[in-house]
Parts: sequence; structure tokens; C-alpha cells
Amino acid sequence: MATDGSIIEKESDVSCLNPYMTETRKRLVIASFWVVVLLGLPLWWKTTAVYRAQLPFAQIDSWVDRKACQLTFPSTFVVHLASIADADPKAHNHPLDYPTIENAIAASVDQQIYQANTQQCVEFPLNIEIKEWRITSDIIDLLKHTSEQREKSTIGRYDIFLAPQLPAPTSTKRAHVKLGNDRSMIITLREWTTSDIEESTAAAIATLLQEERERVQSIACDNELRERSNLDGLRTMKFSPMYQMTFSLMNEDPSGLQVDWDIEDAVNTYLRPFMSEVSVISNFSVDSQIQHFAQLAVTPQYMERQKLPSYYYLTPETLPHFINSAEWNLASAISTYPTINFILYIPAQNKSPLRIHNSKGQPVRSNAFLIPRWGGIVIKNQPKALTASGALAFGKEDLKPFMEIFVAQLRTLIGIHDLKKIMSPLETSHEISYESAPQTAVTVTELDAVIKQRIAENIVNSIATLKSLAQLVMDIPNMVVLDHIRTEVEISLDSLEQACQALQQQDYMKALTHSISAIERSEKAFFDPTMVSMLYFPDEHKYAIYMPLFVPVSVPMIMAVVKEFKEARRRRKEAKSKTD
Amino acid sequence: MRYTRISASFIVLCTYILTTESKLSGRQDSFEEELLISPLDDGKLLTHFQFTTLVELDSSKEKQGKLSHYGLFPKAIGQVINHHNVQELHLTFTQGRWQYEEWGYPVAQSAGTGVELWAWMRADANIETNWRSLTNTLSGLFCASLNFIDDTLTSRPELSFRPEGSNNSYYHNRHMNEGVELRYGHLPHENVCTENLTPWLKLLPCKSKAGIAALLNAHKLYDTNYHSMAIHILPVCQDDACTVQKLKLVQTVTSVLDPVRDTGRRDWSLTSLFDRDIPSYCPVSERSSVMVRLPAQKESFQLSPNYEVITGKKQHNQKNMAYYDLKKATEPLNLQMTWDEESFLYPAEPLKPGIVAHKYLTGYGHERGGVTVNIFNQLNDSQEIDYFDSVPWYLKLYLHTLKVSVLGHESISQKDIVKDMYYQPAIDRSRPQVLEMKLLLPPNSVTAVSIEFDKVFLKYTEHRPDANRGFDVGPAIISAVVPEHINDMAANEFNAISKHTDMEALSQIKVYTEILLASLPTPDFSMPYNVITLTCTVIALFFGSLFKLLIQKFEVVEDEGQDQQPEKTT
Repeated sequence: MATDGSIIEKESDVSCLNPYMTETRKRLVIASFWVVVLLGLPLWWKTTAVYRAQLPFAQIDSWVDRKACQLTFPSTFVVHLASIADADPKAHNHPLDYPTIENAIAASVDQQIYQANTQQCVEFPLNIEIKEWRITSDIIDLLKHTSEQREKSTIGRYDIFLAPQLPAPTSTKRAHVKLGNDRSMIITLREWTTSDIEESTAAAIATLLQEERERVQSIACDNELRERSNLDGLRTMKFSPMYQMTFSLMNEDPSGLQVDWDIEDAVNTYLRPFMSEVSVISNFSVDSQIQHFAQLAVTPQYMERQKLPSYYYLTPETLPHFINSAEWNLASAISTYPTINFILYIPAQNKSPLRIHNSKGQPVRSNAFLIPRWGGIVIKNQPKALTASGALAFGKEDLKPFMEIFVAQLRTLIGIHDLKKIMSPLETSHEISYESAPQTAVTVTELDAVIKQRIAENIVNSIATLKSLAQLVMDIPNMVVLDHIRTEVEISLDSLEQACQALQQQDYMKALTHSISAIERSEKAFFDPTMVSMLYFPDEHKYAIYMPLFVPVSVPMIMAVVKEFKEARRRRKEAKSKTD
Repeated sequence: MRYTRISASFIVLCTYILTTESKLSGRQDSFEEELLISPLDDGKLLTHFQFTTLVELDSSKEKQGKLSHYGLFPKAIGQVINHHNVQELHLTFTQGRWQYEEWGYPVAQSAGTGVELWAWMRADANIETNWRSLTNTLSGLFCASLNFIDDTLTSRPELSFRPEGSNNSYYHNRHMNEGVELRYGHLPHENVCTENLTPWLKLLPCKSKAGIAALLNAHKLYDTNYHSMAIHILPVCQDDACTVQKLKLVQTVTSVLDPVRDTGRRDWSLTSLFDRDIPSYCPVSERSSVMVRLPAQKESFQLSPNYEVITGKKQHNQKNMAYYDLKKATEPLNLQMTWDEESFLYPAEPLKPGIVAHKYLTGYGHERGGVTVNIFNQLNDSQEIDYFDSVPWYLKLYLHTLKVSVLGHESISQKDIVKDMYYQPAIDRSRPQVLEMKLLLPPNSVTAVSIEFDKVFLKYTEHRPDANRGFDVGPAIISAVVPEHINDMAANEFNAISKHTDMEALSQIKVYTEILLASLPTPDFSMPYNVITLTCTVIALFFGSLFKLLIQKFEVVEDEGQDQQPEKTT
């Protein structure tokens, strides 16, 4: 500062002698201050900036626009045609032309399914292969035979065995379709003609794929309006690699009735096989509890009947309020995985029998209902003749009917659709029969559909999560984005890529694994605790604090520049007028 | 009035037969509820609710004693202890201060003001994570600020807080005491209220719908001199060889009510105390009883309805208890007790419990301070105690200033009193200081433990929102095993009846001192902004004038007959 002072003094000495010199100096001084400010600003900007790892926005955008990878859900049908030699010679006037039949079936299937589908966000390639098949003595054994080779067969690859009906046809319908427990079916035709082969096969394939494709498409195309109207989508639990399943025995009034159940045994017997089958998609942890004094949040209505016994009932409108979640201790304190609740509810004696009415006002036979994305409830009324001790103990056998309902509800909750219902449109023209259902309460075909659906869902959801993350990061410039967030996002994108590629190669299991990894990673990044730490210190506060410095300093500097400009212009004018 | 004398052992026998009933849910579990009402010497009334749930653990299977199917045992608690590998857990919410001098020792041991949590946990690699997760989970479960028990408040006592109960599996089963560690945390500044009671009640099998829990009316319960709500989980042995182990959940509510405050008389009834009566017993309970501790003079009071009398077995401490079995009651129970006196006269002479302690802050100013704990031994024998004190890191203790002396007996050297000592120095912002000592108190003496500390100047973000209130410092805790007759409270008889065990000759007590309020130097919280503003203004002023000087043109103005003089023009 001392030197500055001396400069000023000298300057003032000089100024009186040489005013022209000071003018240049003055400008130099102003300019040097501005240089300091202009150099300092980026430095200040740099030093006060928060760390933000560069996220692959472009890549995320390309996924959002579905340009990164075309989602495809291919399926392959291997049509085994019975060899001519063993069949009725009359039926075969000319040898079958395999490529023609292949094309005809594919075209027919596309025609039947692709009526409403105009959006191209997802593709469903269809491969038809025709193979010759030497008919064996017992067709029924065929399904069993293939089920042994189940390890070899993969999701999305089906076997169709076609044969002429060897015993005299009994039905008027065109063909008999028998569905196996795994990915195979046998079609026995009444007439062994090319057109019948084509039509029956195409009809069977189309029916099998129709609903599955519609669901996958509605998920994949992310059409929110459509999904909202889609009741199935609302019933199904949001995907999670792990669910907690809680069975609760609710007793409204223990003073009149003591309850107990052997739920552990019942779960192991009736539910365990199903759970192990579904475990390729999600795992389950099971626990149970008994709650006493579980009072209803709704008051049931009373139905008085003349000759028949009167009863209490709940209308469909009151059912959403059935759960008294504040008092029923249903929440879990230890885990964030979604809970699926199953409740066996025993109403008090003074409210028995309690029934559920459907929308038409008729009592529902099973006395059970499902709460979408939450769980299932069965109401069990107290038996009239209680034991002297006033105790009601459910053994393993007693629990069987309830467990059957719970399993059915669980199927709906995790998005399994009944194969019989899917195949029902075919019944008008074909006779359908099913291989006896396995003990696991889920068939391979049904599970395949769920896997495809979950893959689509996971991919779409992880894209949506990444999109929101990118948007959030862009919207809040003050947010710290650490390196591990970027890593998670990159892994998630990589998993998406791999899942998509696996789909194209028709490797659904691999696609499922990668899609699960994608959704888990993207959510981990989105819900990372470091992502919210700096939200409460916005830019406005920063400027408010710097204001007392910036304003008084900037005013003289700006004024000096403005004045200097005016001076320069004035001088130029003067000079001009002088020369004139 | 009808007096029926039946011995406690008879009841024990009866209940034992009842418990051996098989259950379908895989395990045997049982539930008992008891209410103890005891008039205190200063006219107050102690009510102690105790709910005991026992569930069998099958340690033989690969589950290692983990439950997943619950009957009477609350699922929420079971999941919490399974998930965090907790072997024993004690959580107490207390409001108010237990007056040892006037009330004797409490039935429930933990009585320090605030929230106290201690747990014995499996010492695996995840124990720290588990402890943190446990505090957070319980915080959510009980709507309390337990999540503030972080590393800076967590200590690992080495001498105090041994596993509770003589039939605790810890003492009998070798597997239970291998590889377990203790964690202790205390929040002195935690208000306890309805929001904590509601989740606590939901853990009971009958909630507050039936049984003695129906009395737990939050409006009345918190309008008391002292209130404590606790949950204890401990593994217990069912036989001497410890082949059968059970998990025991004890939920207690203790409150000290003051009937004298309203009427000047000691008369009370359940409806006057709680605005309610007991409608019925809890249907799933195996024992449901109310006990009233009867005063020594039979003539001075009336208690209705009729009751049975149980007498404690010990000769030197015979106390009568009125016993009501709710399972036999046919109509709602409304107890009523009236005293034959015009108005209550407060006793001049306070009760003299064996061991009492008080804690004071010493020192002055905002820099240096000290703390002194006076421990009174009013027994005629010398008494060994365990002293525990956990001091937050922001009070920096100086161990060289630690002085243990017997007041009035300066000749007794420190070595004779302090038998053992454990001291853990603090680490700033990560762990507290822990001072533990085994002391031998001389008969009829006052022992003073004093230590000095410096108060730390905290970073301004480390202060609480109400910074000028100061920081609460937890109590010092004295645990001792005293001769049984010293413990004059109803606790012994009560425990003898409820725990189905013979009384032991010695009983364990814990004495909590007051909590302290240490005021630390508190900054002016608007200071950073003031500093920034002021500095900026000064810099701006300086800059402005300097800048002006630099760019100013100095011109010589010719004044007639005067010398050259620089003058400012712009």
C-alpha cells in the first residue's frame, strides 16, 4: 500500500506537468483492476463450485428416446409335423412344403395379433421352424418325455407337435389342443390338410402370445394412460428382488374365542414349492403373527333374512377400508423390501357370520378378497359349535382351503396370469385339454410370461429412474454428484445394454438378471443419501452474503469505465471539430 | 373383610401347571400381567404395571434361536432383535426423577431421567453397524429420538450393566456368554409422552383393550410425579442345567401418582387415578392379577372389594399384600382404598435407603468446570459398589484431578476405597469418556468422587437449536448388591411372586443420580454473517477510496498570489 501511495504522490507531481501521461495511466489503472476482476471471477467460480461428476446424459437420453437399443421379445416355435409314412395315407395327397407352411403360419399369426399395434417401441419377432417328427405310439407320453428335457428348453422356445387324429374323431371341432406343463403342446387335427395345419397352428400360437404381447407392449411403451386403465398392472406388486410375506391371524375378540394355527407347517407344505419355482424372479421371506383384539375399521351392515339365518356383510365400497393399519401391527420395522400381507380374519361372535358382497349384492363364495399391491384377506367365521374351551386351532389340514386362496392371491399379486384363461378364446374352434397341473401352482408357460413382463418392467423403470436422476441433477446446479453415483449410473446403463442384447439373442434368463441389476443400480444411485446434502444452500443465499462486497466495489469500477468512455467520446468529438 | 392366607408358593404351583399347555404355532409361549399398587411413605402412590411374555427358543435347529412365526410375542420386537443379533436388550423411557430418599428403591431398576438403552449383542464384524441400525429401528418403532445415540454417546461399560436376572442364560449357558459385547447409550434430554406409549401398548397381546393395560390412560399417566416405561428382553433358563431356554419380554410402566395433591387425603380408587376400571382380564393371559401392598397397621384403612392376603416368606421383612385374581373376577374391578384420617400428615423423617447418590456441577465460568458425586452409605456395613459415569467428549475430564474421598474421614486414603478402575478417554466427536470404578464404601459414610474438566468451544454447527439451554449430561449410575432387607420396597415380594423363584438373600439395586445441565460457551449465531458483512463493508470502503485516489486527476489551480496547491477535481 505504501508503494501505491508513493505512486499517487509522484503521479500528482507529474500530472501537473504532463496531463497526457496521466490519462494513459488512469486507463491502465482501471484496466488492470478490471483484469484482476476478470481473472478472479473464474477462479472464484472454480473454487466455490461443488463437485459434480459428469453423468452420461447423452446415453440416458438415447435410452429415454429408445434409440439405444431396440427392445425385442422374440419367440421361437418348433412345429413338429408327424411324418407321412405312419399317418393315414389318404390325408396326404402331396408332400408338405415346409417353407411355405412356415411363412403362412407366421403371416397368419402376425395378422391375428398385430391389429391394434402401431407403436414400434418393442418388437416381437417370431420364428417358426418345421421339423419332421416320427410319431410315437403314445402321444400323451410325449409331453412327459419333453418335460424331462426341460433343462434344455429355454424361455421363448415352444414345441408344437402336430399329428392327425388317429382314433376316429369324436368332436365336431377342428382340432384338439393339449397343453403340457412345460413349453409344449400337441395338436391333433381332424383333417390332415395344409390349410388346417396352418390355421390351427397359427391360432394356437396367436392365442398363446396375444395377451402376453399386449401386456409387454403396454409396459414397454410406457403409455401411462393405458397402464392406468390396465387393472392387471395395478394389482401386481412393484418389482422387488425380495418380498416379505406376512401371514396374520386376526382375532377380533379373544374373550370368546382363543385362536391358534400351525402356519409354519402349512406354509412349508402348500407354499414352499410355489415359492421355489418363482424364486428365479423374486425371493420371499415368510413370517407370521397372531393379533388379538383386531378391530375392524369399518362397520359391517346387517342383512336380515326371513327363513335363512341373518348375517353381516361388507360391500365392495367398504373393502378398501377393511385394513385397520394403525392398530394391526402389519408394518415391518427392519426391512425396506415390500411386504405382501395375508390375513385370516375371524370376526367377533356378535358380528358373525360376516360375509362379503360383490357389486351385485350377492355374497362372495370364498369370503376372500384381494387388495391390489398389498395382499389378500380371507374371512373365516367362527364355527357355530365351538369346543368347550372356546379355542379354535387350525391344523395344517384346516388351513388348506385358506392357503389355496392365498396362493391364488399371491399369483395375482406377482403378476401370474392363468393359462386357461389365456387359452379360452381358442375354445370356440378347438377342443382344449391340459396336462394335470403340477403341485407348484404355477406352470412353466405362466412363469415365462411373468419373466418377460418383469424384464420389460425393469428395463422401463430403470430408464425412468435414470431419466428422473438426470433431470434432477440438471435442475439443481448446486447438487453434489459424487463419483460413485456416476459409477452406479454407468453400471445401470451397461446392464440395460446387456439385458437388451440378451433379449435379442432370446436369452431371457440373462436378460432378467441384467434387468434386475439395472433397476437396483439405478435406484441405488437415485436414493443415495449424498444426493440431497446440499439442497438447502441455494445460490440466492450465496449472493446475499457477497452482496455487501460486490455492490460497493463494483459501483466505482463501473462508473470509472463509463466515465472514461464518455471522456474518450468527448475528446474524439473535440478532435473532430478541431480538424474541421 | 375376609382374610385368607395363602402362601406365595401355592400360586407359583398353580401357574406352573397352567403354563404347560401345548401350542400349535410351534412354540410354547405365555403371557402374564400384574399390577402392583403401593402407597408410599410421603402419601404418593406407586403403580407398577408388568407384562411378561415368554417364548421358547429352539436353539437346536439351524435357526439359532431365531423366530419367524409369532404368537403372543410381538413380531416387531422379535424381528428387531433377530435382525441385529441382540441377545439382551433394555430400553427405558423415564420422565421425572425417582426420589430415593422418600420412595426407597424402584421396582423397575432402570430409572435415569430420559431414555436409556443398553444391549448385549453378538460381537461379530457388524456389531457397530448393528448397534447404529438398532438405535435407528427402535427410534422408528417407539417414535423417539433414539437415533441420536450415535458414537459420541455410545459407551461400553466394563463393570456395570451385567446381564440381568439370576436365571439369565448368560450365567448358565456357555454359548450365551461367548462373543457378546455390551453397548450403552443414554439420552438425558428426551421428553417421554403419548407418542411413545402408543407403540409400546401395541406390543401387548391385548393392547389396551382388556386386562390391566386398559388402565393406561395417557391423560392420567403423564399427569404424575414420575413416569417410567420400559421394555426388557432377556434370555432365561427354565431349568438349572439350562437345557430349555426361553426369551423373556418384560414390559413395565411405573408411575408415581399423588392423590394428596387434589384432596389432601390419601384415598384413591382406580377410577380416580386413571379415569377407568379394569373391565376384564386379558383373555390370552395365563395370570392376571392386581396386588396392593398393605400398610403395617390394619386398622388405619379400608380396601374394597374383598381380597386375599399373601405374606412374604422372609421373617425379618414381612409385608402383607392384597391379591386380586382377575381371572376369577366376574365384574369390572374398581379398587378403592380409604384411610381413616382427616388429612394426610407428611412424615418428618425421610426413609433411609441404604445407598443414595447425588451429582453436582462445580466450578465456575464457561471454561473450567467440575463434577462431584456424593455417595451416601447409610448401612452399618461397608458396601462394595460399581460406579459408572459416561461424560460427553465436550467436557474434557482431567484424570489427575480425580479425587475419591470420604467426607469427614480424611485419613482414609483413596487406595482403600477404589478397588478397581476403568477409564476410557474421549476422542473428539467420536466417543465419550467413561469412568468406572469399583468402590468400597465405609459404613455410615459419604464418599465424594470429584473430577474437573474443561469445557470445549464447539463448532457453531455442533450446537443444538436451543443452544443457550446448555447440554444435558447423563446420570452417574451406582450398581450394588445389597443385603435383601435393605431393599425395603415392594419390589422383592413382587418379584418373588411374579418370577416364580425363591427370594435371594441379596438383591441387586441400581441408583441413578440427577442429570446435569452443563452450559458451554455459546457463540452469537448471527456472527458469521455479521463478520462477513462487516469485513465486506470495510474492504469496499478501502477499495473505493484507494481506487478513487488512483484514477483521480490532480490539477493545479492557479490562485492569485498563492502557491501551487493540489486540489481535487473529478
